[in-house]
Amino acid sequence: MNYVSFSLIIFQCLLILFWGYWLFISLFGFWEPRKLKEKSPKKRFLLLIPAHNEETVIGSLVENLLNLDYPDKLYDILVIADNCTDTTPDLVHMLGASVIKHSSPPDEPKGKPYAIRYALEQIGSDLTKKYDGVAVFDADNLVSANYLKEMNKHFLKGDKVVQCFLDSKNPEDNWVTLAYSTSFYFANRFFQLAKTRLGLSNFIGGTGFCVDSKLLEEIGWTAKSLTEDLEFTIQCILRGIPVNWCHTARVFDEKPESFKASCVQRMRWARGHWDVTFRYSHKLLMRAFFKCDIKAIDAFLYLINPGKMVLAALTSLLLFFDFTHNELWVGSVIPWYAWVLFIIYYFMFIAYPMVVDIGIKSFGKILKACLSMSMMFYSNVPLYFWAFFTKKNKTWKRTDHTKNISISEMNEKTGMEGVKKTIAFEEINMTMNQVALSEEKNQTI
Amino acid sequence: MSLLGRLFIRKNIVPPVVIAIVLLFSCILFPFTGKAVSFAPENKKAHILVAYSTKDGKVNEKVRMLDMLLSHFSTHIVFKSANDVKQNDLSGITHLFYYGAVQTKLPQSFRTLGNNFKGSYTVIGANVGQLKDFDFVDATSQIPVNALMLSNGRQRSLPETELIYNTHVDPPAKILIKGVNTNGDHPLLVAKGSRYYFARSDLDDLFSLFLAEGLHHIFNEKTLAVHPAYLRLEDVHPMADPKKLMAVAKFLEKKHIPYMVAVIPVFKDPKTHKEYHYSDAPKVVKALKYMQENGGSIVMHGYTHQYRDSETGEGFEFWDVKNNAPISGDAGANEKTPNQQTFNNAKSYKLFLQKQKRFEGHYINQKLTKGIQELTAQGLYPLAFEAPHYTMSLEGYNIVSHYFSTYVGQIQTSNKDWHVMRTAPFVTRPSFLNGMLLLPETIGYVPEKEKNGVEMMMKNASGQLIVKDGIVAGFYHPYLGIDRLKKLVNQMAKIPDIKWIDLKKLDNKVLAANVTITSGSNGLHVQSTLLPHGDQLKSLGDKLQKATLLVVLTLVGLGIVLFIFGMVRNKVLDREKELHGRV
Repeated sequence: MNYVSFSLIIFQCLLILFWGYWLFISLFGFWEPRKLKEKSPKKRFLLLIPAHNEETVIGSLVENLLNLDYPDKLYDILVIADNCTDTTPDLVHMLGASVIKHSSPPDEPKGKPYAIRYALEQIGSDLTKKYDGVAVFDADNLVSANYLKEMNKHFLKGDKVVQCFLDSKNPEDNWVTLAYSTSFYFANRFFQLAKTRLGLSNFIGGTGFCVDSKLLEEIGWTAKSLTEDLEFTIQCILRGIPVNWCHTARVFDEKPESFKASCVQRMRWARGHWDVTFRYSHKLLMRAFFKCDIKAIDAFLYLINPGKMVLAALTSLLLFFDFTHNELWVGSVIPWYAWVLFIIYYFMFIAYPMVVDIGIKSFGKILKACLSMSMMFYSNVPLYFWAFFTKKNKTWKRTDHTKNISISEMNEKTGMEGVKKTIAFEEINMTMNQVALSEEKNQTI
Repeated sequence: MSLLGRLFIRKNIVPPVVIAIVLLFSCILFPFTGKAVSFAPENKKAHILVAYSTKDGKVNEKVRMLDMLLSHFSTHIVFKSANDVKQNDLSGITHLFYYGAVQTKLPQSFRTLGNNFKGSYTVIGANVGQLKDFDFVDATSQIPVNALMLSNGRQRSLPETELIYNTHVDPPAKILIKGVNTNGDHPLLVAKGSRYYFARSDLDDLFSLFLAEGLHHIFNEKTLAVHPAYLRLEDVHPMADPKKLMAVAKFLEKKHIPYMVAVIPVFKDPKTHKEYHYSDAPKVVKALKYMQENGGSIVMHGYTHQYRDSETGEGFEFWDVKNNAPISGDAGANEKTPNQQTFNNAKSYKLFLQKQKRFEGHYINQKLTKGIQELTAQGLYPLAFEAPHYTMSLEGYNIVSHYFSTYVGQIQTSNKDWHVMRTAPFVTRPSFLNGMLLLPETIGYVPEKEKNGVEMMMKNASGQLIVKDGIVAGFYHPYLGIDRLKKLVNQMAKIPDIKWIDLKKLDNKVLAANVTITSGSNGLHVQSTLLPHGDQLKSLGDKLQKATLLVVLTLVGLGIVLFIFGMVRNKVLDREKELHGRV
């Protein structure tokens, strides 16, 4: 045995143990989530929606939010029209929600984090005076009717940051959307729910999260990275405030349909992830060391996970090369029978949330989801590899949203209850079209 | 008294001059005292073309036997079917051999080329009547002989009566070797000028020995009668008795006899399926190291010396003896190897053969690499290779040649039958071993239950002395104890003109991933990037690997159980919901 072989065995063992850590956590994702006791609505919320030219989808969301199962007086909807050049602000206004327009200064980069920061600056001290919590959604989202009721329960319990279940509007469009959706189903249960049960902190998923207004004011929305949600999570953990998980309220978002668009989105996430890793890892380790905070260690392990993924992929390549060239100076630590067991477990991992949380029972669909997610996973490897070297590139490339589905259609699809009252959104849309036409006419005259 | 003589006396310079002359002659007469020791003359001037006639026109085990003999004299050898020999094939050739292994009609082109060839031309076996240059012999029929005899009168009896071509020789041709029967003697090797004829097709046993001696005449080699010899301690594995090894080592050290130790890196117990490596046997390693430092040279004798469920030391490793076929699958896999009849068509069979060769290559490469690495990690430096029971396919020898420059033992010359086992009478470098030096074993071993084992070996040794540089080499199992070894060594030491081979002083090169071992006049050198305690670390790595797997597989197992319970529970809840819905 030489130095390289021995080091590679140790390295493989460490990689597997690291993987074993996630495996251990995942075991706590089985079974139904614990429901919180019913509470009467008390907490006041601001629902914040950054939107950039989202006229196609924003209407459905605003309509959906206006009809949440929560007293109207206890929440406000504020759409941030971020550099909009379409009818987004007018549409929102007509639907009865508030709009705040944001135009980026020439020296400031564009993107969602800057829009949120601008809105918070504009709201100023009213934020803590008028609201107990701020929930953030993307313009393409749809939200289950019980969202605010569930957030109310969490806030009354004392939680400061709560992330809800991240569902998908379009899992059946193609393999890309299916892979995306599946990875979220999987993460919701075996990552987020499991961590909650273990008393660890969850991670904000970019949308559908609700933050205590005082905490938000204290930390602010720094907007320094491409994954400001991850950065905010780490900042909370560094203050000893965990992110909590709510499995019973859902937000549906639109997954990108094209593989290219998904790559662009994931590249942004990957760059942001690396950026946060390099800026916060040492702080998490310090906290873990000096305050014996297991949550900080766990967050650190999460941050370095892409590194592990890239290293594992390179090790696999090395093993494959070694095997095909009969070099034999390094052997795989995992025997074939273990691989078989892992593949079976992988299938179960995917199948369980699809059956229990989404209600899919077709074996073929689950198998398709497994294959799609595998393909998507392997395409992550080069993205994370490349992102490592380009992590300083902070250009925000937005993902286009085109799925105009109403919450009632979503409820029909998912079988969920969530609509308190229905407004004919189509009617408003028609009105908007008439306004646009008359404006055009006036201009012509 | 001559002027020179007076000068010597007057100037009192006799002693230095005499010493100088003696030293000069010593150097000429005893080539073994030179810098690099070599037992194969390797006459670089001789360029040999062997034209042969075989049943299918391909090189077979008979031709390979001839290869083993000729390669003692030169490494420049080309083998070609007589049907394919062209004029330019003879360019630069100093020695032409025609080997008629079967009766056939030779093409006119070859006959003409042979007639016009000016160098040494030797014909062996059949078809000599078609060659004009050999009209001095008339070999049309065969006669039985029961002994063979050199021109100096030394003869050896054949175990059974054998046939040779009944050769009538016209003068002035000379008879160099004869076959003897009750009616008198008959020419076996005859010479007329630069033309030689050997009146036998099959070159087995004693015939190859006598032809080997005749080749010295053909190649005009003035080799002195020095018999290289070696003794090999066989089948030393990690479960060997270190006390017995030490006793043998001390005895041979005392005798100042260099020797070889054929070591097996892994002992596999077929009952428990446990493996014992040298890292598990520090006392055995200590004894082997002592041997290595005091006259012994390590020879790698396979990796486990077993296949399937056979025991280490007993089983074959590189040949599937059950099916009498090359290794074609993992030990424990298909007991029965398919043959051509098993397949529906030639294409399927060809595909199977390709797969078999790939597997065999991987199997041998893996074992050789591991063996060399494990031994090196223990400070034991193998300098040569010996296949278990001498069995291996020709592809196998080719693979071995990429790791070892020296092979020890006998050679399986057929790719179809392991029983076709041949040895060379002297040190040689056969072309089919891809450049490896062959140190052949020629006198056998002491069987455990044979009381006269040593005597049998000595009888074999006397046969070897027919060839002036014939090698006397045998092996001994150290577990038999010291007594019979003492007897064997004392007997071997009495053989006239014996010269013990010290493997460490031969030019050897061993290459494997992370290991390079060389030996020769500059001593033994090892270059290794293996960890100093590689085996211990490997064992640590294995434990760590097992522990890691145990942890992860336990978690996976728990996950599967939870999944099953979770799914059942979900089903029950669904049913309850349905029932409530109906109510």
